[in-house]
Amino acid sequence: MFIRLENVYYTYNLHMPFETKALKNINLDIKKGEFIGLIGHTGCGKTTLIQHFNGLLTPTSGKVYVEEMDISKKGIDLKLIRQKVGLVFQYPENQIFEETIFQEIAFGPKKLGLPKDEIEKRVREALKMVDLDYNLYAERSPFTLSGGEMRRVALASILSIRPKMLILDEPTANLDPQGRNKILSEIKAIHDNFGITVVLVSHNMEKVAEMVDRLLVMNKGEIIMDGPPREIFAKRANDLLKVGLGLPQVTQCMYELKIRGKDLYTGVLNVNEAEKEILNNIKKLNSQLKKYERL
Amino acid sequence: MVSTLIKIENLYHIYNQYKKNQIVALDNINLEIKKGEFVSIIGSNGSGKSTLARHLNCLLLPTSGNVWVDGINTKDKDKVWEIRQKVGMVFQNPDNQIIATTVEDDVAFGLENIGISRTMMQERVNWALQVVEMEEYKKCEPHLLSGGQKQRVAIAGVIAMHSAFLVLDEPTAMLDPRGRKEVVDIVKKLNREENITVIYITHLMEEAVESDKIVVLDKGKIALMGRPEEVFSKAETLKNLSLDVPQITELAIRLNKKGLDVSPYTLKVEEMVDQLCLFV
Repeated sequence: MFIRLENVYYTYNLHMPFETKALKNINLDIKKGEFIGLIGHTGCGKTTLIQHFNGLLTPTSGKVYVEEMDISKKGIDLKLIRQKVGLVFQYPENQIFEETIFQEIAFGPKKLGLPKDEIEKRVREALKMVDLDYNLYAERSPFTLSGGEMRRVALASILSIRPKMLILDEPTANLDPQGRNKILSEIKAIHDNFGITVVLVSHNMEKVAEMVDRLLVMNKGEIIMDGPPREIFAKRANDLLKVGLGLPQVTQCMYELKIRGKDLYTGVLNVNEAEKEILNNIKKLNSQLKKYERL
Repeated sequence: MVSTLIKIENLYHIYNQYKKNQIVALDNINLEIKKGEFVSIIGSNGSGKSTLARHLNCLLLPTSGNVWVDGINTKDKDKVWEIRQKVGMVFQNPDNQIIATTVEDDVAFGLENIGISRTMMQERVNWALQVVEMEEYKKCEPHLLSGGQKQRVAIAGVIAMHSAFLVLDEPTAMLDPRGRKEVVDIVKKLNREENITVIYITHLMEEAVESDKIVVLDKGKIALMGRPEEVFSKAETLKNLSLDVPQITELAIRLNKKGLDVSPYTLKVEEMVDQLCLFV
């Protein structure tokens, strides 16, 4: 088990007039190598939850374990935890401050006290992971980049620490479709090629559904659904709509056909699967008709 | 007769002209927007969407060509304030455009600057907040509002000026799905019920579906223009411009190719369900 949360509660402004219960009794196991999507409305506790994964917040009550180490205890080496669990905040490009892209990405490894040649190796590796050419980009100022590129540099500056787990808070917010698809395919490749555990926080149900193995749905400080997206869409489409989170368009189409009495499988994740499901059902219908005619 | 209210003729805009880093942001744009229309402008980042929008209320002036608003050329220096009163803008980041300490003060800010009477001002502020469904937050501090609510307050600030045009530059880019829906619903309502002409910039195709006309920009040129069903049926072209076609339209196009009786111009889930019900 890579991360385990046991009965975690978190309350902002405890015992104050503006007390808000942000997390209520969270129990969660994250295995090494999983690719998880975390979805929920603004204010549902997503960001509060992920800040528990690397000790930025400690639970009001309950336990958080990272690789079996209880990080809610006092005296824990949080620096070590943060090397293992890399957190990429919303709009990470706002945190860029160095003069060149090389220096920006080298900042983490430098703080780890690594030798010079190792630092360079890490920077090269990290730039490669986000598909930016070292020779073209290393000496450029990060502030001359486009929004999408800046975000990838910010991602590289976390990857250069070689975290075992990567948490991304809305990595595609404010990017155009091209920038969005680019960064998502890089995240997918980072997961697939390097075995890094990924938690992707997003509003974009369509993209998340296609990418992740496991979907966590939060509502009002609780995890209300946990499972493969296909299973959730097949069994709990109704509940998702009830909390107002919506379904991918093609999934919703299947769901509404089902409501109208059509016997369709609603666990479709993309256009391909929806097309197959519809064509299959037409074939089924046709063969039934033929049987009927023969009788 | 429907009158053309915004006319753009051979518009070029060049940033850093005659310098090494010269960029042609708008490359011969010709466009007419009629009274009461809902026009969406889509395109990837850097395609010139925002540059075009900024020409509509004199925030930018053409390098060459002309822009007329209600018959006034935007180059006419004496008419700048008149044009800005006609054409209101709402930008992407809700936190950058709210300045006052209460919601009603913020909506009144524009009115204070044109010097109208206090009673008239109160009337207009109340009306504008009612239209965007924010009247119960009148005395609220803006920083306590959600993103979608802040954008609605910004919109109220524009319509309180009785602007005939509302230009929105990616107003939902920083909002979550719920906030997005709030803003889109209000904009549609303004267009329908208050007859405000809307120019809506976005890269979310779903939001452009219900407009009267879609203009697709690519590298400063108009790549496609027409009714939503015309534009979205050209899925390949849109993909080449690195834009997304709504999932449901893509599904419709594919099923149509397979010989099913589904219109390739299907833009909404309900339309698809209605068609499929006949033979699934």
